Amino acid sequence: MNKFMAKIVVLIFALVLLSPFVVNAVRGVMGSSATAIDLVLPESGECVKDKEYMRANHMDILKEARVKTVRDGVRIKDYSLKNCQTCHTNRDEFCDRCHNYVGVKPECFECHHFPTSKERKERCEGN
Amino acid sequence: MLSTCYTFSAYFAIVIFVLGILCKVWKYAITPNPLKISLTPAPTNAAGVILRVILDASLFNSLFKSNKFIWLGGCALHLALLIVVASHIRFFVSPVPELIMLLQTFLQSIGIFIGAIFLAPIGYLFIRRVWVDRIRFVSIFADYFILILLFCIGLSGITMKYFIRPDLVAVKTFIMGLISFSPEPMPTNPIFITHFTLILILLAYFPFSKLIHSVGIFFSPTRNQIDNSREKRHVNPWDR
Amino acid sequence: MAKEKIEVPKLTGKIEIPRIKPGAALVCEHHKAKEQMLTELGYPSALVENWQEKAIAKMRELLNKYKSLKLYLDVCVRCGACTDKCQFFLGTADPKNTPVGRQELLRKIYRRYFTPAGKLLGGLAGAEDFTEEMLKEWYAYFHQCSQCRRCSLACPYGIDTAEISMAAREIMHSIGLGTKYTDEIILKVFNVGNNLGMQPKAIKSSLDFCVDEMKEAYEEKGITNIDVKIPMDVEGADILLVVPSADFFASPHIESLLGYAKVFHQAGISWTLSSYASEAGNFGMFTGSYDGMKKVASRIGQAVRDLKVKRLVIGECGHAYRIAYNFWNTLTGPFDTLDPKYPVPQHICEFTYDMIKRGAIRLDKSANDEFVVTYHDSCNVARATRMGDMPGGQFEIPRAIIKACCNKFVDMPQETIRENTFCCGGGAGLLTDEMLEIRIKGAMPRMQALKQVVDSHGVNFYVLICAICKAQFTKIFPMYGFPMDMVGGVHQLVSRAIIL
Repeated sequence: MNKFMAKIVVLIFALVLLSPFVVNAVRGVMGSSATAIDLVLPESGECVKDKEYMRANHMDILKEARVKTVRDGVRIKDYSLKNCQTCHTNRDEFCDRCHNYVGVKPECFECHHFPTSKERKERCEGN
Repeated sequence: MLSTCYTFSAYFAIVIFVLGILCKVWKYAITPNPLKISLTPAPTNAAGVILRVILDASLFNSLFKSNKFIWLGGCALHLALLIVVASHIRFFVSPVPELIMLLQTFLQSIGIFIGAIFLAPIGYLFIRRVWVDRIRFVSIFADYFILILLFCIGLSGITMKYFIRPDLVAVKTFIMGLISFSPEPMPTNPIFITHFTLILILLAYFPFSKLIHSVGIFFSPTRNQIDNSREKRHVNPWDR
Repeated sequence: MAKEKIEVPKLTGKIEIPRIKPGAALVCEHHKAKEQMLTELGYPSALVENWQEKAIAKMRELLNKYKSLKLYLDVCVRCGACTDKCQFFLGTADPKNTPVGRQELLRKIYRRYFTPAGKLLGGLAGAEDFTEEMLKEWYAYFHQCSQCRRCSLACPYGIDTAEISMAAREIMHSIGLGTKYTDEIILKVFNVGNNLGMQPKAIKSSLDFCVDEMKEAYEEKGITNIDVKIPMDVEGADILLVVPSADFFASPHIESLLGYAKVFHQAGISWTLSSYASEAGNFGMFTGSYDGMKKVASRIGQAVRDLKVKRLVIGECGHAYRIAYNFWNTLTGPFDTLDPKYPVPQHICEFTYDMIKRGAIRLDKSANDEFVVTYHDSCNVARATRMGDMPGGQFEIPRAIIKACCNKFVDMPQETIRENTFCCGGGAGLLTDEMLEIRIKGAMPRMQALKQVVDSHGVNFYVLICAICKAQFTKIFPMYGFPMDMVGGVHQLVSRAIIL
C-alpha cells in the first residue's frame, strides 16, 4: 500500500474511532452545554422519598406498587402513578425529559394514562 | 477533584486509545508485502477478497471451519460485545435517534439475558483456556487478564443495572460533557466509578494488547491478497 | 543425538490429539552448517559474539520489510484453534510444536524488545529475554516447521507460521546459525545449478540411460517404434520444462519425468530441459532468505531468455510450485518474452489436463487396473497455489488426470485432503537423516488417514505431485508397514496409461 492509500485508511479508522466526537460536532453541540436538560419540577413539597433516591430508583417503587396491586390486590396509595400526578402534573415536562434523554422507554404508559401538558391544557379549556 | 481527575484520565485514555490504534493502522498499512502469500483456494478478484475478509471478520468463517467450540465461545463473546456497545450508544448522542430507541426497547425486553450472554462466554473461554492442556500451555498472563478485565466490566455494569443504580441523567450528562469538550461533574455512584475506571484501563491497554486483532484482521495478507500472481505481476516495493 | 531405535507410532486409522509432553522434540536438532558453508553464503561463519544485539537488529529490519511478520506477531489471541492442526505436534506431542507454541518463541522476544508492554512488564506481558536456552529452542523448533500452512488455514486471522519460521531462520543465519542440510543444498544450486549437485554431463547420461530403459521395456512388449526423447538445452523449443532435480535421478521421481516426456511427445510440442535451470526447487524459501530465493530463481529467468522458449512449465514439486506460481514473477520476471496466451508458469498437470481435454493424448485406463489409487494433496500446492482458472483447481485437476488414467480411485478422509491436507513431514529442510524421528512422527497423521483407506478400500498406490513428498514417503512407508513402491507420481500413472 502506498503512503497516500495508507493515509486514507488511517483517516477511515480515525473517523470510526472518533465517531462519538464527530457525531456531536456535526450536530453542532461542540463546546456548548446544550446537552444538559432542565426539568419542570413542582414548586414546593417533598416526594415520597428523597430526591437522590428517586432519581436512581423510582422504577423500583413503581414496580413494587404494580406487583402488590396486581398480584396481591394491595394498593399502595403513596406509590401509585396517580399520586405522582398530583405534583408532577404532566408527562412531557417531567417523565419524558429524562427518559428521552437517556433513551429508556417506561412501560407505565402502555396501560396507564398520564396526561401530557397539551392534553391537560385542552382539558382545562374544555371545562 | 474527582471530576477533574476523571476528566483528565478519560481524555488521556482516549488519546492513547485513538493514537495507539492509528499508529498500528499506519504501520500495518505501510509495511510492504514483498511477495504474494495468499492462502489458497483464494478469490481471484477484488470482490471475492472483500467478501472473504468480511466473512472472516463478521462470522469468523475460518474459525468455524477449524474449531466449532472456540467459534461458539468467540461468536457469543463478540456478539455480546456488539450488543453491549450498541446499548451504550444512547449515552453518546442527544437526542437519542429513533433507531437506537427501537433497539433499546428490544434490549430492555430481554433484560437480564444481556448480562448473562456477556458473562457466560467469558467464563466459558476462561475455563476452556485452563482446561485444555495445550491451550493452557500457550496462554500467557495477558490472556487471562483481558478476560478478567472484561468480566469485571460486565459485572459492574450488571450491578449498576439491577442493584446499585446511578443517576442515569448525571451519567449521560457527564459523558456528553466529555465528548463535547465541556466537562460536567462525575457521578459519585461507586459502581459507576469502578465501571468507568475499568473501561479507561481497557481503552488505554487496547492498542498494546492482543485486542489489536480487531484492526489487524483487515490487513492479513494470507486472507486479503488476490490470487492472481500469474495474471498480474506483484512488485516487491523494496526490490524493484 | 544417540542412535536409539525410533518408536514408530501405531496405525489405528484415527488421528488423536495427544496430551502434551513439553520438551519432547527439543532434542531433535539439525546438524549445524559448517563454517565454510556459512562464509560462502555470506553469513558469519559461527555464532557471533554480540549475537543478541545482531539478532534484534535483524528482527527490526524484517519487521519493516514484511507486513506478515509485523502483523502476525501482534494479532494472535492464543485462541488455540491451531493447536491441534500441526502434524509435528500431533506426532511429537510437544506443545512448542503447535503453531502458536512455535510462534510464541519469536513473539516472546518481539514483545521484550519491540513492545512497550513487554519492555515495561516483562514476563507479565509474555516477554522473555533472548537467552542461550531460547536460542537453542529457536534452532530446534523453527527447523521443525515444514511451512505447510495448515495452521494459517485454521487461524481466524490467517496467521501463517511459515512466515514466522522463515523470519526466525533468517535471523539465526544472520548471527551465524544455519542448518547443514539446507545450506549445503543452496550452495549446490549456486555452484552447480541443482539441489543434487548434478553436473550437466551427469544429468545427460542419466536421462539417456532412462530413455534407453524405457525403450527396452516397450520392446519387450513388442513395441519398437518409440522415439520419446528427453531433450536438453534445445534453443527455440516451445516449452521450457523445469523439474526438481530428483526427477533426473531418484526413484520414483524419474517415472514421472518419463510421463512428462511422453505427454509432450504425444502432444507434438517441442520442449526442452535446461542444464542451467536444472532445479525447480528453491531452498532459499527454507532459510527465509529473500536474496537466496531470488538468486536461485534467477536461473529460471535466465534460461527462459537464453533458450528463447515461448512457454514455461514446471514439474511435480510442492514448495517449488508455490515459488514458481507466486514468486517467480516477482523475483525473476516479468516474463515478457513468453506467449501471454498461457499461464506463466504452467503446472505440468495443467498442461496434461489440457491435452486430455483436447483429445491430444489418449489414455488406456486398464493399464493401471492393478492399482487402487489415492491422491495426497501436497501441502504447498494445496494451500499456496492454483491450477486452472478456478480456485481449487489445484485439487480438481490432478484428480481429473488420475481418474482419466485409472479405474479405481478413492480419496482419503475429507479432513485430511484438499486444503486440509497434511504435510508429508519432510518439507522445508526436514528431509535429512538426523531429523528422521521428526519425519516419522510428522508423517503420522497422513499415515493414519492412508491406513483408513487401505483397510476400507484396499488402496495400494499413493500418488502425489511433490519431489520432497516422494522422497519422504519412500523412506517412511516401510517403517509404517507400507511397501515403498506404493508411492508414485501422478505422471507415473499417466506414463503407464498413455497410448503412444
